[in-house]
Amino acid sequence: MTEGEGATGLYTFAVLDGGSVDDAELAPRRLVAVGPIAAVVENVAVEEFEGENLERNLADRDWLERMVRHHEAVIESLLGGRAVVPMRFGSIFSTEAGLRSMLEENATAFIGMLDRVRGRTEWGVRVNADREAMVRGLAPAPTAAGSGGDYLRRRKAEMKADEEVGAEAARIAREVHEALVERAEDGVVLQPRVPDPQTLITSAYLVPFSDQDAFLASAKELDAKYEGISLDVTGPWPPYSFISADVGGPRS
Amino acid sequence: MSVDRDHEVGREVDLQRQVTLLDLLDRVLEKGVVVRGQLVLAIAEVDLVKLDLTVLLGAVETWEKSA
Repeated sequence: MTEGEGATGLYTFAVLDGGSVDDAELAPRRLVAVGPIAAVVENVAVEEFEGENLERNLADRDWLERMVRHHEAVIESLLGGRAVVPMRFGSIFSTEAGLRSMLEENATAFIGMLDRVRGRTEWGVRVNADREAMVRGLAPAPTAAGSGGDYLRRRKAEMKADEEVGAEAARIAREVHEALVERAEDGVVLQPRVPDPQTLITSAYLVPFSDQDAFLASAKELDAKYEGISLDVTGPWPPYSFISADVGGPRS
Repeated sequence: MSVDRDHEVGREVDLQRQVTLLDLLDRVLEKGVVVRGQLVLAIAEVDLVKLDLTVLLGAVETWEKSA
């Protein structure tokens, strides 16, 4: 990494099964194949990711957004039924030899990860709560001709509902997650960097292609099931949330 | 319920695009294979960069809410 100005690095997006993608359809990116696996890479100017330049770039929201969206778009373009193991944002190798050596040393781990995600994609879910609607749902409906007694009973019920709504929301969030896990091969609760106060739980599910429709139908049912609770579903994503391995680098 | 994804336009579920930059950042910056040892980047030094990103994400969120 001491080549000085103008050095190019290999930005590495993902690892996939060798031969599962045509080099020609990747341009301007290309494959670096090692045995049965291959990495999808693009040349980048290393200086943009270093020192003062990096600091300046990170202070620029547009730069980061552009880079993150590019990272995602390239990986998504690879999906199309292929097994894809996404790399963390900013995985840049100074030399192709370094990348090859990393792939060689971790071939078994990558093959294991590819096996895990082959034929599956990730779906994201946010379970959102409308607190007022939940309180209304928990309190009994007012009677037609409300007497003073009815009013007091209702107020009391509302106050009780207000106290209980937090626990009820947590219970529903667990129930929804468990129901979705049942429909998926695996499920994880995510920790958003910027949590939305309306969101009870943010989660991701690894779903085989063949179960996708059943999974989405199940999400739709859950969305309709509870007063004041709604689901947002995003996907299909590359299986980011089911790949969080640290692999060793090449020996230097 | 909303099911959101640019390329999911053909899907027969209530579509509404809502994959936000925050959704992306939560995955792209937090997940995926991390290679130890040979990254040329300061960006691989997660702690330092994370700090910057937190500030940045605050700005992103404000911008999103006001949008």
